[in-house]
Amino acid sequence: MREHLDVTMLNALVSGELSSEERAAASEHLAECASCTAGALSSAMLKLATAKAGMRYAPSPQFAERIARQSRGLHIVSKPSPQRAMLAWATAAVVAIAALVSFATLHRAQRNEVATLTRSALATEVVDRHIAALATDSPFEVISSDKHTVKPWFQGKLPFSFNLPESLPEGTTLEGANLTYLYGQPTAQLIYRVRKHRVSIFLMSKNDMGEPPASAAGFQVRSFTTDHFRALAVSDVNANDLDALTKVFKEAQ
Amino acid sequence: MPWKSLTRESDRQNDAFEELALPLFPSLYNVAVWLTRSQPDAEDLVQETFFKALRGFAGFEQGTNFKAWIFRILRNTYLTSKTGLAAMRTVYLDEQDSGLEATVDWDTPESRMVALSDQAEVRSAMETLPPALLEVLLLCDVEEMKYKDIAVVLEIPIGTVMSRVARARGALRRVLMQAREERL
Repeated sequence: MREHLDVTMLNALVSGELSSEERAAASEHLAECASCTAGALSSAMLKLATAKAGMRYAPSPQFAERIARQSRGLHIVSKPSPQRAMLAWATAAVVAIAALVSFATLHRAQRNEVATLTRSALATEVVDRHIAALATDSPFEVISSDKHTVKPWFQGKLPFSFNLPESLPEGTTLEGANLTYLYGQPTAQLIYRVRKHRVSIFLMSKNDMGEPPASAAGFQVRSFTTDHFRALAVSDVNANDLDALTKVFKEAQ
Repeated sequence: MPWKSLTRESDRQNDAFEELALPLFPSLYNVAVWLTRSQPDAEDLVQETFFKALRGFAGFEQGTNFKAWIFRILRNTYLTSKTGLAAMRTVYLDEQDSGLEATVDWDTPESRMVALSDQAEVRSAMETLPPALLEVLLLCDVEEMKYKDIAVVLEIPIGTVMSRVARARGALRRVLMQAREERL
């Protein structure tokens, strides 16, 4: 190859995009041409400098967490499909055996089953979130035992307001809070410590999911609703301690 | 029960998505900040990209390049955003070869010195590039994507990728040389 390498070829060489034949021809030319060799070296160095300079912006840990949560939140939001599928299945079953069983009885049974599944899913979900938050190195977005710091942090983040109790049961302290998402809804996660155990209290917009079971995966779950939100307390602490904290939290509302 | 198998399938899809997408999150964010020139806008862009990608993951053809697929979503989302529309409206981009030097005289001190520019100089130079040239440099040099994958992301023929890469590196080199001359 006697002619100089054109700029496109030179760049393709540096990018590793030449075929083996093209590369062999280019190498042959470079062995004879100091100018093109200088060009190839210069382009390779510029490519390296661009690669280093271009890797410039790193996402904040908070944003990374939000994206992970979003992926997980969407995961949860997408879960109604099984329930819809179940409804379709159950509806088909109703049609098939309508001659034997009254529609009203089946419909009630179906609704009950869906409601039971929904409540169990809610309990499982909050337990998962509780475990996930505690498993990370820095589980709290706001770290404070001061309720006057924690509560204002949620301003503008939640579609409802809440109160934090003035006094807590003995041995219980507020540690911090997170903003998380349950069923695609922004949810406050307040983290308390009861001796060596941690308790998460989740606050989400009021919904008609019903009361979750009192335990899931070995964790205690407590729930109550106000006019504006639903609270779910989760912990592996003993039932009496969790009841006591849930009680003062409910009385503060 | 049919809904149980649907649940398992949906869970498998979501797990597969997370496995493929989350490792690319830092790269997507980096490119998003370069394109939008704003960290809050980049966060919105990446968030929307993840949302769209997960929703459309069922349409992703297994065995094809996931990185190219999700970067194409990022880019298309950017192009339809307010900042993307404004940026691309001002872009010159002559896809003909006019303006692309056939050969360059590399054997000059200036040309050799350009390659030794420090990171801050290169970053400043990159910031002056039009979006269409910047994005091809980011994909080729920073993300080390192959030309065929860049062609998928930018939805242009591979020949255009080749000339655009050459044009982008040429433009970057000129900006660096100009900056060097101004300092002297």
